[in-house]
Amino acid sequence: MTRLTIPTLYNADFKRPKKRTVESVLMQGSVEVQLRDLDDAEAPVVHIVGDTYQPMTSDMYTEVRRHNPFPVTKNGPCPVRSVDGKLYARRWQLGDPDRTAHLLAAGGALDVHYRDGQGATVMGLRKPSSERETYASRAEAEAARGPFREWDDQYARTVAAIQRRCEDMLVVDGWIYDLVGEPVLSVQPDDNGVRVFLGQASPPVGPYRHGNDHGKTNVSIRFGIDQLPRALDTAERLARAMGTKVVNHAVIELVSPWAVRFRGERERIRQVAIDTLTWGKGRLSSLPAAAGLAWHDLASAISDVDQVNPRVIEALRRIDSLRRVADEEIERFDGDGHAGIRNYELSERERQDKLTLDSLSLALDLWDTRENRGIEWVDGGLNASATFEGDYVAYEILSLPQADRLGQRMGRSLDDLAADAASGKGHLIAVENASGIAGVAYVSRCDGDLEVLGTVTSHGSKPPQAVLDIAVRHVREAAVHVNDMDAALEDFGI
Amino acid sequence: MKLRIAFHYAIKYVPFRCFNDRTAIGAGETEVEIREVSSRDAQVAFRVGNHNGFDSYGANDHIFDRKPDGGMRDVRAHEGRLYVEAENVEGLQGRIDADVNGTIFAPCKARVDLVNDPRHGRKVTTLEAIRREQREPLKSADDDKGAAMADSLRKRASQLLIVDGVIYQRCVEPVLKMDIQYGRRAYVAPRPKPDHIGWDHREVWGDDRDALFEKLADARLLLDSPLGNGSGEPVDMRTTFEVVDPRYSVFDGTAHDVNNLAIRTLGIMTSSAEGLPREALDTMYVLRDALADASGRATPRLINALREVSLLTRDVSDPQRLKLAAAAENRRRSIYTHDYRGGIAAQRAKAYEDDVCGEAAGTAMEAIHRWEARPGSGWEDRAGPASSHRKGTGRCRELLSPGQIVDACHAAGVDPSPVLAAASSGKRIYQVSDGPSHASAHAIGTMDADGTVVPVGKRLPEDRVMDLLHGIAEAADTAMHTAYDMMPMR
Repeated sequence: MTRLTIPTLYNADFKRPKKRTVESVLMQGSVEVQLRDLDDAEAPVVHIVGDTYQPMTSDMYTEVRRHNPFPVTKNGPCPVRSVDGKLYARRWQLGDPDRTAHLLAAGGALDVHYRDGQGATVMGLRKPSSERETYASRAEAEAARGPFREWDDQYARTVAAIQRRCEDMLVVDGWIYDLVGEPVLSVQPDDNGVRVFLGQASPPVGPYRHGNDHGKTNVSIRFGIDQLPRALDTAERLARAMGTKVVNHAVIELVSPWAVRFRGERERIRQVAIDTLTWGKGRLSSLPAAAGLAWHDLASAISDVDQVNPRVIEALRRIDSLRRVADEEIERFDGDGHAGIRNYELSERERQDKLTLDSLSLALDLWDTRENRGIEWVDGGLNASATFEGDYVAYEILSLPQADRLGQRMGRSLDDLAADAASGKGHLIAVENASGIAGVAYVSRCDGDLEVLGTVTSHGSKPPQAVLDIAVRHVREAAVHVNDMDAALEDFGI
Repeated sequence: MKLRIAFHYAIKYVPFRCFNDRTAIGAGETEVEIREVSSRDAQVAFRVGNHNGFDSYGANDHIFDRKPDGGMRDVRAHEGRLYVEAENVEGLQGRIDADVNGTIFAPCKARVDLVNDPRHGRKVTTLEAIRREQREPLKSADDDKGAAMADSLRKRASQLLIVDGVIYQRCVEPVLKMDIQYGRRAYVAPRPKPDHIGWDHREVWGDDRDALFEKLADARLLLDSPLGNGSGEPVDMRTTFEVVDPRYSVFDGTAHDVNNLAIRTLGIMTSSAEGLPREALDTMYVLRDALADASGRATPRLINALREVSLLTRDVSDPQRLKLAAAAENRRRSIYTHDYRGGIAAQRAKAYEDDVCGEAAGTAMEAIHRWEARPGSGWEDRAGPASSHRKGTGRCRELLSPGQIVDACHAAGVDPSPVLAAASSGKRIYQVSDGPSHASAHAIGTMDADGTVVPVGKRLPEDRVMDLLHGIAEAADTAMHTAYDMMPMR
């Protein structure tokens, strides 16, 4: 254990005698924290990656971590170590303890995020500009400001918050490592060209973020850290279409493929599905009938549970192909010289729509050329979105990151079941309700009958029979759909 | 008959160094003439009389009311136009001298009240007087010496007719109007505007939105239909009328009402299109395309689409699922209320709760009842799946009833009777128009059974008319073939 004494500021509220107004003073104190010490074998290096893009000084640690979580420093790219399936990136060298503690406190590294509640605001050593004086104790404050009637300081909460934050840090080889999400390659067009840089799959902490992507519009196209050629290829393609150049900030020295769990195609498809839904929403009554129905199918497929399944892909393909036909017709019209459909400049909204539909084609192209064996198995997924019964909803788990997230929520590992599901022998079904995940069941077909071959719950015991029944029902009804389709095709002699 | 009318008019001027104009009142006088025709040249076509004392505030709403002595009003036809009895000519000059706004010339607003009233301070003046009053020269002045007002009065006089000492004013065809929302009141009203005025985006405003119309000659059919006395709630008949000459009763109320109700049905469905079940959305598109093809008429294709809509119910296989999906979506959306889905599952659940499908089906059913109460004098069955056509700004549609033919002939400046005769001898009649919708030029074309096309009417270049007429024949042909290709694949 490495012990540090971290100086910090905190607020204290008080009332003066015979007054009802609450006033506050700024207090100065320090917190004892312990950082875990691990050796090289316990925390092996899995990746050595870096991003040469450094937009601001490293003092503002929060900003750096948000914009460039894997910076290339004078010590080279950033090693990433793996402990219990979590990844930690190298941050600060451990030298003089006082200096290190000051560095942590002053740089904003200890900021408490939304995840931990806002009861305690950790200020580190950054003094609010309105406050001039700081005091070490109540007595000192009373001496300066007169007697107090009530006193309520936030010291205990500040201590708890900082200690909790420090649980996310490790010390290995004389360096402090900090918890990060999985490094991923991002391709993002901006004013200076198409930028290729390193990001996190899902940041472990962040203000107003629960670690998921709800409500966030993701404009970049992301790839796993082992897919640099593919990322550069896509960036080239985008740059050609936009008439700009590629700017590559990513430095990759070492990648352990077994530790890579991220693939961006699913996320991309989900994002274009959202964009396409928004695009079609106000204009449903003026779309061609086939496109309107495809929109309806897309909405049905994605609104039950927010995830990519075969139905989403199928609906997106239909919209994409219809859109290609529509574009051709417009060009033919122009060729005839008829009164202009495209003879005027595109308005802002139309440009936005065109962008949406262009990115739809790109996303489908990426989807068709993906290599995600073992990480994601949407192609073998059931042709169904969700099954509702009582207050339960059942849906299929179709990727490793999704299994990881559910596993984290339950505090269990789903790796074994996920590996079975990825091999295509069965289906991994999650059942949840308003109070949480009721259970995850691996359903497979044995001798023509559906059977539950494995279950995982948060409490470790077998889930109730009702939950298993819903999981089996979900698989059975989806299978019926498939059989219907087969029968229909046979009728046509295909 | 000659009349002298003294009137007020507006003098506009902008004083020196001022920005806004000011208005003064000038005075003028003009002489107008009202035609006098014998009762043989202006035969009675209708006799109408709405009962007095019902509330209606439109400008033309009371021209078909009973006379103050309780008698019915005559509607006479003269040179193809209709004129309704307005007031007695006796003492007209005296009434005009006393207050022109209280006479038949009221629409011109030829007199300003309270002028020269000492309590009010407004006076009749002249531009010279204004110039004298102002210390500086005027920046600008606009004084036409009352020419515009005199013109307006002359135009009004040209719309009037004196027959046997009674003044008649121009009117459009009186038709029976029946409210369907508020107590099924039936009364005689001016016919709605002909639809070629707004062929592209036909909109019905105000009271007319919630009403059904039928020409007086066939009004009985509408009154006795399931929409009228057959509905269980008897019609509140607030009028008496008599059709003396049925040649002047031509308005195609069926096409107007069916179209109107179809537009309303489509409106109900589009306003919650995101929440509709799949079959309903599919039907919505069928109705939309049929309505675009109908372009103001009632075609078999439109009726079929309405029949499909009328079969919709809100019964889905699993209504509980809608609620659960909406609840699950709501949980997932948490604090991100700006989320893209805007609650698609929630919208579906709401559309189910509100019974949007049932509402649309009800309105579609009304349209079908209206269709079934039609007089049956048209040729609607002739229209194939594609009976209208557009190319650039040019539009072309087949005319399917005598009422439509008369309207189109008026628009094209053609005498309707030979065209009507051609239609009843088996020829197909087309209306062709070109130009922006508010100022289109119209023409009529006829087509023989063997496809020979003859344009009638001179308001459009002949080659343009021929081009569009061949276009519609081609479109009808391809629609025949594609109708089978495009059978739904389910």
